[in-house]
Amino acid sequence: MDNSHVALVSMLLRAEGFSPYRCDRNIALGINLLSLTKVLRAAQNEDILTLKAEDSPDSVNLMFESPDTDRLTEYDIKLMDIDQEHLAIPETEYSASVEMPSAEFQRICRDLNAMSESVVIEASKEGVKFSCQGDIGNGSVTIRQHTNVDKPEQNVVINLSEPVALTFSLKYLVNFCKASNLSSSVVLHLSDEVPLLVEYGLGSGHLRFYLAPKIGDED
Amino acid sequence: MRTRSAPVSKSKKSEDETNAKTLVAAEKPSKTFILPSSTSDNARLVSLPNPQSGELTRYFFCPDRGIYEFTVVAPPAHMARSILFTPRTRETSNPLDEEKKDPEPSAQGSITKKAEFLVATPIDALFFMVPLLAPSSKSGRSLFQPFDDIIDSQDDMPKHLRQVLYDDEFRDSLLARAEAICEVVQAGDEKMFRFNETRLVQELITKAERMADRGLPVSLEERFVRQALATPLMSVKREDVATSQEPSNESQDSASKSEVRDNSPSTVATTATPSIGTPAGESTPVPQPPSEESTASDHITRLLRISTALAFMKESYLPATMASRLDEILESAESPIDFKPLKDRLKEITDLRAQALASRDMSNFTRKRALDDEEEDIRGEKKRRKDEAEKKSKAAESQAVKKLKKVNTSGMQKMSSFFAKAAPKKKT
Repeated sequence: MDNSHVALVSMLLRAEGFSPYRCDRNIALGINLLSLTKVLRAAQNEDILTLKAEDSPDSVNLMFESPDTDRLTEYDIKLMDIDQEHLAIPETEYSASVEMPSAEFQRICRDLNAMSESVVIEASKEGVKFSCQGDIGNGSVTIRQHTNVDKPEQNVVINLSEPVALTFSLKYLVNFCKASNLSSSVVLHLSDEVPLLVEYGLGSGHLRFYLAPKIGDED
Repeated sequence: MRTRSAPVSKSKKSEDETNAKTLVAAEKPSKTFILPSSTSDNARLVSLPNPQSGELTRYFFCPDRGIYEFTVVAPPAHMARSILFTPRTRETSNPLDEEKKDPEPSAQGSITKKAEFLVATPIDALFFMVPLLAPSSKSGRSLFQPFDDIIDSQDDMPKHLRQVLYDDEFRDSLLARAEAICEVVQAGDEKMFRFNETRLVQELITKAERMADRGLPVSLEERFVRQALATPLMSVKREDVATSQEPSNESQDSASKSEVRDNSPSTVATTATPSIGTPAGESTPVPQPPSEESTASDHITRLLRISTALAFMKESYLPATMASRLDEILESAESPIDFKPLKDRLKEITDLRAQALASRDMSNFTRKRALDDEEEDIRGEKKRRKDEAEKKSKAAESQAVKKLKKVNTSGMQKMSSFFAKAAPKKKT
């Protein structure tokens, strides 16, 4: 969760994504993201990464093995107690889900962010409309269902059970879009009065962002 | 200094024989002495009261040659050194013969842990007598006494000192030294002594003059003579004019006299005081600028050398009470040597220094500015450090997190209002 507790990120990497994978019992490892970033920077692109933690750990061990050279790098990161409450996120049926190229979503968010703080996302039969109103004027981007046979990653798929219109903070969305590199497509799940779910599919797992909608004083 | 040392066999430092193979450390570490040669058989190490402090100290006493004090010559503490002694083949008898500690000629050489020489240097026996003779003089004018009576009156005299004083061979030279600082009257076939401070002062001054004429040791010369007389650089020119004028204004007889002589051509100066020129040349191994000034103040320099030598003797060889008494005599009008020109000159130099310092303070604004800047720097640095600390605590969060903090989240509900709290096992 972020500092203002309006956004949440969850990432799942399934066991099949690892080789080997071994976990005797569930443990929570509180890792400072900044520290993790620092250590991960020491890894090289093709390195094999091994994550290790003891039974009752006070640190997590990261090992980078270079497949070409026989270089072996090891780091221990001190763990921290995370006092944030764990929220159980129920699997929800959303009114609308939009699958679109992640680059496209990133572009929309970035462009609209220049005009305004928040964006209204309206999903209807015609398509999905991102619109915003700012001091200098207003703007909108509409995308429609689109199928590209040659490049399936360019597809836009809209599943709609009922039309929704929600307002979100663009600044948060822009930050979510940083995950665009991980996946070529992104799925937006929307329902009234429920946080927006922005999901990037990973090979074996997913990266999910949740963002509370702006309700009431819509500016 | 004598380099040939006499055998030390009779001294207490008999070296333990060490096994050469195992290199066992000697039980009693040996000491290395450099003793005067051709001492008599009765020469020995004695414990005498130090004339300055009164504490028992080791001296080397030879009835023929007098008393020697020991000066330690050692490397500085941070530069550890040792000495290697090796046996020398006897046919090559070198005058610079290093004394081998082990009496057995076949024995191996040895190494001393500390490179420390104890050099015996002669000390005037009169310094030992000053504490003996002086106390009687405290209660007004004392009586003339035979020398033996004076010695006998000291009940708590250290044993060794008594032996030295009663030594028959040494007696003559001892009495000669006593005469130098005492008034003497002949009573029958016996000489009677009475301590006289003025004579002591005269004797010390004679010593000091001899010391000054032969040239002070380099360290003393540098520290107490050259530095004391050094005038602040920036005012050298101005100060020359000032000295020639000021004395006449203040009508200081002695000072002006000396100054007049100083300002006259150098040939006159040397002829008037022939003893001045040469010692100055000899005794200043320290490179001195051959300026007019240095030749001009030869007299002052000599006075300063004498007073330095006197101060050295007072510090090293005389009890504190006697030293202060001497100071009084030297201050008073009956002083056999007049230090007034020197004092005036020193005062002048102090004034000049103060002046130079003051002028520097006043004229040099950049310097003051620099100080202010420094202060500011310190303050700025404090601020910067505080900022840095703040930044560091902030740096614990990433750029994006910082930016998101500023986002207007009004109208947005907390996540916890959407999602139920914590099933113990987190579901995704």
